[in-house]
Amino acid sequence: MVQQVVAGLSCLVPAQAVAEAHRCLMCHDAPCTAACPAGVDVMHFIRALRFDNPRRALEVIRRTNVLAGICGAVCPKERLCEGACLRNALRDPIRIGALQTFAAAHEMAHPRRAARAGGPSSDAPAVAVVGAGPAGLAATDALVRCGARVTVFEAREAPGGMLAYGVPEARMPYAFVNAEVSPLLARPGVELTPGRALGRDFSLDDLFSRGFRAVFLGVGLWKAARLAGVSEVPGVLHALPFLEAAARHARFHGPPPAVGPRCLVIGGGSVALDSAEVALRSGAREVEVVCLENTDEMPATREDIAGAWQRGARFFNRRRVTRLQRGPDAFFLIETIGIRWKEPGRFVPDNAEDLPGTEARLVADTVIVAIGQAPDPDVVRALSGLKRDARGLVQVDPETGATSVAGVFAGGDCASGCGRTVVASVAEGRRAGLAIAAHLGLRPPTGPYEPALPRGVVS
Amino acid sequence: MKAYGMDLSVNFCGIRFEHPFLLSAAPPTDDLDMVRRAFDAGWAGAVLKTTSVEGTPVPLKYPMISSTDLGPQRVASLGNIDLISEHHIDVVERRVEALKREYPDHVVAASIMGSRQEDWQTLVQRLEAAGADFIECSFSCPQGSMGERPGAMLAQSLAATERVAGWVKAAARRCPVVIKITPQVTDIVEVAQAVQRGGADAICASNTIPSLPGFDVATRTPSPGLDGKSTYSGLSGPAIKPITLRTIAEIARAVPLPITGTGGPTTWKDAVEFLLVGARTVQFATAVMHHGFDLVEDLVDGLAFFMEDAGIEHVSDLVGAALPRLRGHEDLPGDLRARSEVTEALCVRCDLCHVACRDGGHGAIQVDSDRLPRIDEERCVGCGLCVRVCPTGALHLKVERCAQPS
Ligand SMILES: Cc1cc2nc3c(=O)[nH]c(=O)nc-3n(C[C@H](O)[C@H](O)[C@H](O)COP(=O)(O)OP(=O)(O)OC[C@H]3O[C@@H](n4cnc5c(N)ncnc54)[C@H](O)[C@@H]3O)c2cc1C
Ligand SMILES: Cc1cc2nc3c(=O)[nH]c(=O)nc-3n(C[C@H](O)[C@H](O)[C@H](O)COP(=O)(O)O)c2cc1C
Ligand code: SF4
Repeated sequence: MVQQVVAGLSCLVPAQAVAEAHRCLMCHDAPCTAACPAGVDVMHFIRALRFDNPRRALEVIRRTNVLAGICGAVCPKERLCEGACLRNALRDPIRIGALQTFAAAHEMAHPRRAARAGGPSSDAPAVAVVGAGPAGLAATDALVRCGARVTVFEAREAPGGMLAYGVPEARMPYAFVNAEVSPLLARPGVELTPGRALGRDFSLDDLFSRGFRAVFLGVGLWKAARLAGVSEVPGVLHALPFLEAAARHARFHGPPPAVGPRCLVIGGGSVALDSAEVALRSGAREVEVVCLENTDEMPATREDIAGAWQRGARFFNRRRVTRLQRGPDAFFLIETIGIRWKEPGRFVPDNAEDLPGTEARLVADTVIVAIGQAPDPDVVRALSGLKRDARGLVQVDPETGATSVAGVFAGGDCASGCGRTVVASVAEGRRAGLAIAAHLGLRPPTGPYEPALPRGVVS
Repeated sequence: MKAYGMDLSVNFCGIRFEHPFLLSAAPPTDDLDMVRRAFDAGWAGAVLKTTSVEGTPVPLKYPMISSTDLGPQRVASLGNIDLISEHHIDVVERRVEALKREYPDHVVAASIMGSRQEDWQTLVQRLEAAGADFIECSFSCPQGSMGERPGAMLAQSLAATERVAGWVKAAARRCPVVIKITPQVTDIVEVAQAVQRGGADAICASNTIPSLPGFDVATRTPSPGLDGKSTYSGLSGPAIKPITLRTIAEIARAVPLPITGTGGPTTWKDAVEFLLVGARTVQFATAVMHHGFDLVEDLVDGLAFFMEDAGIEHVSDLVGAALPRLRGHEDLPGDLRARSEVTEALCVRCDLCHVACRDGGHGAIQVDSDRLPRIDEERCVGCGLCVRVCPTGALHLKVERCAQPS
């Protein structure tokens, strides 16, 4: 079963995992842990693998990162733990992510016999978690560990957030997401109510009047950012709806997304590359990616860029789209121009300067805009009582995730913005979950093996 | 502590251990703060490094540590030319008192060595008064026991073992007396019987093994080199575990005394093996010196998960559980026919099995045109060498019982 589940992931076989774990130097006060947004105790989990204890390895990871296997696969590791590995000095960093995914896959193949004992008492305080993405799931885990009861309200039909409806199947098989997420949602004291959206089906006030003592918001960012002069043109697609359609097709029996033979993607992040790859898999013969950044400036990881290139995507770097029109035969005519950075090292649109004489025209049957995500208007309306910044992001105390309204906490993309990671959302969700527990007078789990609380969370 | 809801406690000579893992008498227990940190990290107990009466000279020589590697694995074995603690009974007494006051639920044992009857008996009485939970007597320092000829260990003499065990036991009022023996003897069972005749309560088996860890061949310097010279080292760590398992098993099969195991464990699996051959608790030195005190987390979690999976409720159910499976060669079944088999999906075609069988077995593995090993059923005797050298687990033995008894 697990073999199928992890087929799409580069999962190590046991002999490889043991050999890889033996390569780890087990450094004191290891920099990989400091480089992990969730503070995964890398040295101790790898040591557990080395000493014949994959189950403990997973427990060690899950103490601070409940999405152990998923993060091992989708984290931009070259910028995080693996980038900090001291073996980079010997030019062969440990494959920390692959080991993390191995530990999770091992548990799926050898599930624990005994169920986790107990669960919250019937008079335990109830907390509502809105959104079953990485942030909401991590908050849920932290809250039940502290003894709260949690109801998760999820707008869509399945949990996972972007992992279910954004990240393509080829990169993260949903069977694997499900195998990691469902045991958490099946824990005593946790209830998932799918198909219920804040703003559409209930309000924040409804939650408090129904007896929830606190609310965690992890609703993410689900509205595509718009590119002026392009997004308005009829027929232009946006990354998120496009990827969601592809995900629904691959996972939930939806119709396939429609892509023409020539496809243009606008944007240089991992969402743009995912769109390019999905377009290639959905029938496009040529996919071109236009972005402001050079390959070494793009927000996407080197690994993802190399992967997209290998699968056939081609790049127009340091270039921007100036005009887009519909051509006579339903295709698009696109005008572009090369750019330079006015101020070196700042790769943002308002730092770009056009280079006259570098104009180039392109044609495409499908155009996908992938330049970021913004808050959903329904959610914005539902959260009108909360302080938000100019971009519409919920303002929170960075240490605790507390919003301007007492008892309401937030974390993940809806508070921190787009272009971030699953692991950062997990870290924020966990931190907020522990802060909510403290706010409700619950004591965090203690014991020699519990990790230190994040700063700012007082027990 | 309850690890994942499992009760891991054990009873050794009437003393309750939270779980079976303690520190043995060695550098990690030769400093009060280190033992405090060890207890905070989760160790259930500690045997403080061996002490003696005031005025006993302890002429330590440095460097004192050597080791052997096995490929990339550092410290496959550790060698030392250490002696007992430089801290005498007056210091160790105070440490015992402090630890028992601060950690009443942890097991604090003291290790002693003397030469005269009077010294052994004073040591026991003073440490007992200080609150020690048990007394361990070192009869097995590889640099030799005090009062014996240089390099000779008390536990190598049956008469001395019985006599000194008797002295210590006679002086002890409350504390169980444990004798730490050496594997470096002709017949370990005779030594264990001498301990029993001396009246001691338990055996600690079986310390380091006298050894010569190696040389720098360019300079002919033995390791550890002291101005180009060295002596024989006590060998500890992973390399000696198989010898320890054998000594514990032999003792457990012959003598009813409880055993605390020492010599080579690193992982929870190693520790379970110690339990299976009859140890009630497992002591650690080298593994902690290499990996640090928090290694105990790996041990506790590993044992808890193992017991949960296997449906074992009490650690004591594991103690000695494998002993009925050990017997003399003459009592092993003679009617088995074993044959090597290949799982092609796991084979990476390195053909190491072919080389091993060709030059160390019976020439029963040929290589086909795809580089796949082919077992010759007629020539294979089922010795199992190929299974041992295969790097991917692609070989296993199929074992059948012969129709006609041989
Ligand atoms: C295409 C794509 C690829 C990515 N690839 C990677 C990658 O490889 N590695 C990486 O680390 N990160 C990647 N990311 C980023 C990562 O997925 C996000 O940062 C992360 O999922 C954010 O987690 P979250 O919990 O804040 O929000 P989300 O994952 O967006 O989850 C929010 C959840 O809330 C639900 N919801 C929304 N509105 C409501 C409402 N009104 N009521 C109830 N529920 C609601 C949503 O249905 C969703 O389930 C990628 C993102 C995208 C879009
Ligand atoms: C440096 C060093 C010093 C030791 N000193 C003592 C000692 O003073 N008394 C004693 O009984 N054992 C002593 N030992 C032996 C250990 O307690 C232990 O029995 C032995 O090292 C085997 O176990 P291990 O493989 O876990 O290290 C010492 C071991 C080492 C490595
Ligand atoms: S381990 Fe510590 S005491 Fe020993 S030589 Fe190294 S630094 Fe010195």
